[in-house]
Amino acid sequence: MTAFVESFATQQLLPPWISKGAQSWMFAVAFDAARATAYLNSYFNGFYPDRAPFEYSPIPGPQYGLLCATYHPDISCLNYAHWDTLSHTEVYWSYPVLRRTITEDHLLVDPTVVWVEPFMLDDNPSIVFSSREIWGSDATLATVVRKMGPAPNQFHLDVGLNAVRKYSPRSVYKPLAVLHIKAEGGQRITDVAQFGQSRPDLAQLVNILGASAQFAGGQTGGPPGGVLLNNLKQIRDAYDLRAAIYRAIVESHSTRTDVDNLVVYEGAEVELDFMWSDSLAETLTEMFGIKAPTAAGPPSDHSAKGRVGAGHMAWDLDRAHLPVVFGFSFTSNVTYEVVRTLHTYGV
Amino acid sequence: MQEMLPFLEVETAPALSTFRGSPPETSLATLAQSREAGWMLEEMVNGSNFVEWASLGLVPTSMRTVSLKQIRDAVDPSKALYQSLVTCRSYYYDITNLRMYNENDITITFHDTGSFHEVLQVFLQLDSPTPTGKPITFRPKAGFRFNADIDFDQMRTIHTFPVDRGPGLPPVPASSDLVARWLRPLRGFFGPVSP
Repeated sequence: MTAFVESFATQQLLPPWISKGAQSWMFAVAFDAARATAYLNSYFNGFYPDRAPFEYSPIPGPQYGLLCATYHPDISCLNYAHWDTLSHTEVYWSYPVLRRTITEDHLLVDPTVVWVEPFMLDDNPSIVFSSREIWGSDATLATVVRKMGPAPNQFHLDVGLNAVRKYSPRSVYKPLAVLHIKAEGGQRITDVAQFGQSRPDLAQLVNILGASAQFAGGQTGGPPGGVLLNNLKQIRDAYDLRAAIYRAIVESHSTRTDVDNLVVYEGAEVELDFMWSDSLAETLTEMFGIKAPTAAGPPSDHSAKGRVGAGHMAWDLDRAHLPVVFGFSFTSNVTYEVVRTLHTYGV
Repeated sequence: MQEMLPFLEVETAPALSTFRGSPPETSLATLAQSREAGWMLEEMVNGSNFVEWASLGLVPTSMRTVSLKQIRDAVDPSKALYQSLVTCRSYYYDITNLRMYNENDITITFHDTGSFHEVLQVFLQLDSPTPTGKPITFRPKAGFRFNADIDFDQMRTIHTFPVDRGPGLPPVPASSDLVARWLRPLRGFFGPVSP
C-alpha cells in the first residue's frame, strides 16, 4: 500500500487506543424501529454506487439505544508511545443492530449483533479529527461541562455546540446548549443477573450489555465479549462537495476490562433534555422521532437569561425531554482497535 | 499528557501614526502613514482583484493555496487510501482600515516546548534538535492590519496521485486537472472527450 506522508500536522491519535480509568454513564432510551431502519438504509444498505454485501436491520423486538457519556482521563495510542496522551469527554448515541451477510445466492446468513453510532460529540479536537479521518465516526467538536464533586451516585453533564437557534441565510453560529443530563439517587449493584430478572422488558438489552462487558458480570448467550462498532467512513470531494472520493464500512472493536463501581439509576431519576434549535431539530427528528419541543424553557438548573458553566452556552431555548428507561455508570479500562475494512465502495 | 500551552504571542505598539513606542521615523511604514497613502494601498489591493478578473485569471493576483489531501487507512494508519493536491483561492476585497505598525515595536515569540518543536523546525532555523523550553523571539520586516471580506473559493483537485489501496482493491489511478477556469468551456467544446 502507499505510505501516508507524515508531518507535524498529521500527528493524529492513531489506533489502537488504550483508555485507562474511563468513567462511563449510559442511559437506555426506547425508540421506534422505523428510526433505526431509516438510518441503516441511508448509511449502510444503500447503493453507493454498488451495494455492500451486508444487510443491516434493527434487532428483533423492542428497540433500546444508549445515550452515553464517557470521561477518558488518560487515553493514548497503544503502538505509538512517543505520541500524545490525552484526556477528553465524549457523548454519543449508539444502539445494537443486526448485520447479516448477503451471499451470492442472495441469502442472508451469519447474523451478528453490531453497534452503530449515529452521532458523537467530543470536547477534544485531536479525538474529533482522528475519529472522523481514521475511524469514520460522525464526530463533532463540542463543549462538555460536567459538574465535578458530586457523590458517586449523582451525575450532571451539559453539552454545548456552535449552532443556529433559528435558521436564516444570515444566521451566525453561536454557542448554544444542546443537551442536559442529570441523574440522582443511583444504587450500587453487584448482581447483574438479578437486575436483569427484575426487568424482563429489558432482558435483551441487559443480555447484550452483559456480554459486551458494559455491565460487570457478563451474561451468557449473547455476542462474544466487547462491542463491534460499524461506521460508514466517507470523505468529500474537494470540487463537487456532494460527491464522495472514498466510502467504506469500517469495523472496530472496543473491549472493557476491570469494570467496577457499577451504579444503576431508575429512569424516573434521570433528566435527559435536548435543547431545541434549528441546528439540532433534524437530528432529533431522524434519531428519536421528536418533531417539536416538549416543554418550554430550559431545565430548572439553568437560567433562561444567564449563561452557565465553563462553556458559556445560551440556555434560553425550549427543550425536548427524552424518557430514560434506566441508566448506569461504571469505571473501566477500554481498548479500541480497528478490526477491518468490511467493504470499500467503488466510488 | 496533552494540555493547553502557549505557542505564539505577538505584541505590537498601536498602529501608526502614534506617539507611543519607537520614534515613527525609524519605520519604513512612515512612507505609507498618511491617510492618502493608506487609501492608495487599499485601492491597489482592490485594483489587483480587478486585474485578475479583467485578465480572465491570466494575471493572477489573489492568493492560491495548494495542500496535500490524504486519508489514512483505518487498519494500517501508516498507509494512505487517497492522496491528491487540492487548490483553493483566497480572494480579498472591500479592504478598508489598512494601518501599518512600526516594525521596531513588533515582537513575535514562539515557545519551543514539547511537540511545538517539530512545528517550529518547519520554518525556523533551530540549533537544538530537541525542545529547549525557551521562548524564541524576533521582529518581522513589516507589520500591518486591515479589514476585508474574504472568499475562500474555486476549490478543486488538480492532481490525484496513484495509490495502491492494498490486496483485493483496484488501485486509484493518477489523474490531473490543470485546465484554467476560463479555458474549460472552450476545451469542453473543442478538446478531447473525457474518459
